[in-house]
Amino acid sequence: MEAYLNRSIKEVIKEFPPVEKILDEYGIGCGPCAVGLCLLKDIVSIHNLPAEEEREMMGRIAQVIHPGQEIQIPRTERKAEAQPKELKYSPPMKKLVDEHVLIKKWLALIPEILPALNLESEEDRQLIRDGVDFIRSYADRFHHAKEEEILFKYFDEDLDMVKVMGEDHKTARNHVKAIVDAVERKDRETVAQHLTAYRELLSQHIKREDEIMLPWMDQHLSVSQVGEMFSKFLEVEERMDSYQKKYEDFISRLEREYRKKGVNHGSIQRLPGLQDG
Amino acid sequence: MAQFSGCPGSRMVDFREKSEPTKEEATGKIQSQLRQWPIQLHLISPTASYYQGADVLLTADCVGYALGGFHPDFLKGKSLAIACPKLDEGQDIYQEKIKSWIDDAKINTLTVLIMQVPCCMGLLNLAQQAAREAKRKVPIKYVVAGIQGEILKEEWA
Amino acid sequence: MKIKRKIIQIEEDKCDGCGLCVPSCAEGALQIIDGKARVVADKFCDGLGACLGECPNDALHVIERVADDFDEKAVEEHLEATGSAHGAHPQAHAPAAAGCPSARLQTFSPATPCQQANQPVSYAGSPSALTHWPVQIRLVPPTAPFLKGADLLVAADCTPIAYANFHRDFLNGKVVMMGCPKFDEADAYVEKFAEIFKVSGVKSVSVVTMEVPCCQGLPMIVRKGLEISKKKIPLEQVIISTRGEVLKTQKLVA
Repeated sequence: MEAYLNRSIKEVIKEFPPVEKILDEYGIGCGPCAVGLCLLKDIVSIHNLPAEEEREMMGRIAQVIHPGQEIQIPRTERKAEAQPKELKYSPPMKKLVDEHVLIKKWLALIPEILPALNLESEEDRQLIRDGVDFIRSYADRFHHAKEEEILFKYFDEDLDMVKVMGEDHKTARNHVKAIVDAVERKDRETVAQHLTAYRELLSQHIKREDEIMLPWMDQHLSVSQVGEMFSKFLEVEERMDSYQKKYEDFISRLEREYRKKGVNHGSIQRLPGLQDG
Repeated sequence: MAQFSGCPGSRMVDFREKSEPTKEEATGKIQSQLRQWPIQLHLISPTASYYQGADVLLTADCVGYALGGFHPDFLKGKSLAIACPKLDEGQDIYQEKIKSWIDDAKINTLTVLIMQVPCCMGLLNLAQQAAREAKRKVPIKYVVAGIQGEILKEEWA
Repeated sequence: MKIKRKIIQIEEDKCDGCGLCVPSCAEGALQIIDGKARVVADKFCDGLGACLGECPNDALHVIERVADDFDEKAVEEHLEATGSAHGAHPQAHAPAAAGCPSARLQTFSPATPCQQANQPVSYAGSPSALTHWPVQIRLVPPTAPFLKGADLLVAADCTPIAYANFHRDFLNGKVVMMGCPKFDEADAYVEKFAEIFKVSGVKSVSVVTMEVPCCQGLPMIVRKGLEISKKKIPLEQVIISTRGEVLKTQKLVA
């Protein structure tokens, strides 16, 4: 069991597929992760489950890896007290979480836009271009920039979590490139495919950031660093001060248009982490 | 005492660089982390050198008596002021000073450290009110100490 | 025995029987009787005035008149009899203020934590060297049980901030009362200390102050209180520099 704790989650799941489902039951969504570099022991300690739950989960994983054997559950190092139900972020982290809310609204709109999307119409092509602009300007230049150029710099760039999040950002950018090409070719299939993939990727990514990465980083930053980061975020916001309002308005407009059309919400698959607001 | 005008009790002294860090002796002696004088909120000037861009600790009078590790755990690396939200008179000036910390001294962060007794909350309220009126924004953290020396709560406001 | 002393007076016109003052009295001297707050017996009231802040109608005042002297033993018996051990005579290791499950008389309105917050409690066995609450000179009644036969440390507010090893070097094994001789009322303190030295059997007094001149009022206050009490108690003073070193230790009274 010890040996498996030190393997990457990708390897563990490859060898023991049921582990993915077990983790998922405890709110740990490692399955869809494209990278899977995190070591099993790090994943457990980062999630900081209440002691009882952690023991139970590890017991079940041990049963899958070594069926029928009595296993000593090795104690994983706890970084801090188990997280309370309600997460309280430091002010700079809270800004990032609030920006996630707007991005999640965009993600929620994607399945509402796709069904009636007709790339023969210039209006619809422009809609996709506007969506791409939202992603590239707000989600990427405004939000991810804060994460990559400021937040991540406070941590070791070799940290698995930082690498994984960075990879996600890259993958997302690739999807967007594909969408841009496909729009001009009026290739509806490809646009839909990449937008949907983008939506799945970002929802998991945001959930991981909100629930795991940001709280973990909060615990590892000194008061002084939090103040510095907050100040740097404010500088970004001052430089790009029209962005927040512009893109909030964009999303509100879309929500009004698409929800007014009476789209059947029941048929839309709700991904986890995409609650309204 | 050297010759100077005004009450020596409130004469401003900044001794941040002058002390060398010494190793903690085997006897467990705690090194003093105080780098300034005065310390009472009534007496401090919010724009004093040691507040400029600093991480500031605003703490209730009793806290030093309740927390054995006050110096290494809370004071280290910070500039501070102490006050009693229950018993101090003339508290209107307090809000002005906190606002000045934020807007004029452009402090980096404000940590408010209080006791668990209800009257102490007044200090946090004071700080939040001042923050609402200030033009700049700074992260504010609050920490609640129990009378038996435990930390009961530590959160960003 | 009747003497002229400080005692509580309740202005009946202003009192509406809300009962907020009742739990604030550590001696249980106040009760709501016939819809008005009353002092149950003069001998239960020590005239401290802790109840004053609790009355929303300003019906409580401290006056001086001829009255039965404060009788601590009688208070103990009274509290045991009424079963309201909410602070004046706690068991050792009684939990602090909020949520304290004390038995109350039915005419009491439940005390809010605020009113209980500064009632004296004793406890021990903690990482800090502090063994009691409250700590402010203004809030500690002379009858606080933790003062009995104690080694008393009187500290200027700033001293634990200036001196990092305060708990180990000064507080350990002592009971502390803190105050600021510059900003607080000196006369009230002199009276309080006089009372404490008279009734509590304090064994020794150590006064810790800063080097700044305004701090020197504190040993004078304590000394004056000692003179008034006519007790013989050893008194020493320690002076701390703003850099956190002991500058001087001297015996003021052998």
